[in-house]
Amino acid sequence: MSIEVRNLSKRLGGKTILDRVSLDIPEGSLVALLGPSGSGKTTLLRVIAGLETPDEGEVLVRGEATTVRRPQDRHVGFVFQHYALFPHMSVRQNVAFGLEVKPRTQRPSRDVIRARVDELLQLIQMDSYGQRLPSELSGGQRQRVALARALAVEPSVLLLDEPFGALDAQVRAELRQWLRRLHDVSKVTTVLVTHDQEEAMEVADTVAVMNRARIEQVGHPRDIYDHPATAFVARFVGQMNQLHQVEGGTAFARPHDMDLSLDPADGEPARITKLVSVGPLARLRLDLPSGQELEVHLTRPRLEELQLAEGQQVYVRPNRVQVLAGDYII
Amino acid sequence: MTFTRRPGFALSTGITLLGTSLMILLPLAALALKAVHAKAGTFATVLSNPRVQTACLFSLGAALAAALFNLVWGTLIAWVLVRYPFPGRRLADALVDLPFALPTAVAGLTLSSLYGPKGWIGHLLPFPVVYNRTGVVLALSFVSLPFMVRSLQPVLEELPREMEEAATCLGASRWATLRRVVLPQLLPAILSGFALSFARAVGEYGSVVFVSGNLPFKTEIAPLLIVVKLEQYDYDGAVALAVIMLGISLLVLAGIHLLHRRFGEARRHV
Repeated sequence: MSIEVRNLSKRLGGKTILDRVSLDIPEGSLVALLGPSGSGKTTLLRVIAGLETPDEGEVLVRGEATTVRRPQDRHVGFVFQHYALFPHMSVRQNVAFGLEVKPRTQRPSRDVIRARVDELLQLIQMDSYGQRLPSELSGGQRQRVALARALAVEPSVLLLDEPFGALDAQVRAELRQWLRRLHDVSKVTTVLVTHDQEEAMEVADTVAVMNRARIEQVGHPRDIYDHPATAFVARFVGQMNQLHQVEGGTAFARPHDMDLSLDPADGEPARITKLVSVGPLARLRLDLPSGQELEVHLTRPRLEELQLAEGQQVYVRPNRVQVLAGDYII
Repeated sequence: MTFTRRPGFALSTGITLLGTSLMILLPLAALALKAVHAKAGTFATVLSNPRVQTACLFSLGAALAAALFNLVWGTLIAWVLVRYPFPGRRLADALVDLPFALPTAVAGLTLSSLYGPKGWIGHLLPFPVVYNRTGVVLALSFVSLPFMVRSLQPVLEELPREMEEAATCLGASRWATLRRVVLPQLLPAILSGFALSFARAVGEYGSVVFVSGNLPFKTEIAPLLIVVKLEQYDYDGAVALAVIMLGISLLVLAGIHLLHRRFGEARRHV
């Protein structure tokens, strides 16, 4: 279901948490809200869910205002970072909860509920875990149960608040691929909050980058990476070298958009302080005479061609520079 | 099986056992010994005395009523103290411990003067509160209330709000969330609070003597009867009554403990 966020503002104790935030979430899309902690992304998600009320602005679902509706009636599925499973209920009871608390007239029969729970347990590949308690599951399993519980009521919107934030790296990577496949099958409009740019880039159709209570840029992950709109986005999404101040802003270059040479005519002098060549790219750290540090990524063939070593003097030159306005300070 | 050395085990266990023995086991043993040496038939005589029977039943009933009252009242207080930030909350929180600190005789005197026929509150009420059974239950719940509140408070504080939010988003009404999500998780703490309240109320003496009027067959409680027997130099009778009370209290506590375990088990196997 399409969601339209219009001019949301929220202040708490003199601090602005959301500052006139607007966002369109098309039906069936997977949108990631990406930003550092304290940027307001979780609050935005909670306002969409109805768990928080905004001071100004409204949330439209299919063009209809929801800000006045109780969270119970919004048909959102919410998944929390720390799972929030009911510890005294088995996996089955957790998944069935949303169906069982429906008013008697809308509640499906026991058999229908059982079948629906079976189906969901199969979807999360946990058929044989139905009788377990949440405390007997691993973190990744708990989060899958939490997702199944949210999906049981067939929500019109699925809201995920840092769903993989408490898991270790390998489980995270597996779960986000699984989430993407799940979304491709179910087509439920999904909003994912994360501070992990890799996660946002890999999973989402659209990424909205948030900073200091505002949305700085909304776009396809690739556009955000290639054409950051602000200095903050440039630095937050992927690695970025801040080169120098120019007229109208600051010049930036990605580490893979830089080249090294041994010829003094080819660029500014720099010294290699660190060289790591593991994997397809060699990562080098350079010191400029000004004291500034640069990160440069070279392909393995290029590295071999130049025969570089730590401590060596080289000449660095950006292949592609982006000039961005912005008051972003490190 | 190999026995691993645990540093400090012998010393700490020794101290613990010594303390427990001196403070709890020894007096109980003395009581039991005294009971064994009592004249044959003392128990039968004491037990068959209708005044004793009434007092024992009333003691238990009143303690149970007070504990039940605290179950509702104390749960409510704990909930409000944990969940709602209101001005003076810390003061209110500290006041909960007052019954712990107040000498029970003072509590009894205060209650009887407040709720007495001429007291500030008593003269407003259409029915008498002190010098009858209501007064006894009132005094008992006053002295045992902190046990309920303090058992529940830490558990409530640990209860994540997200769990209730999750239930809300799944469409559960406030009432369904309370009944299906919050209460089941509070149940063990509520049961222990109830057991502690009850145990405290059964043993209470000081405050009750001031508000009950101590009318035999009406508002007389078992601990008072023990004192009466002692004053009449009927040591054997007092000991017999004490042993009976002790037995009943142990039974009730064991019962609550079983219930506690049952709930713990039930949660695992549903």
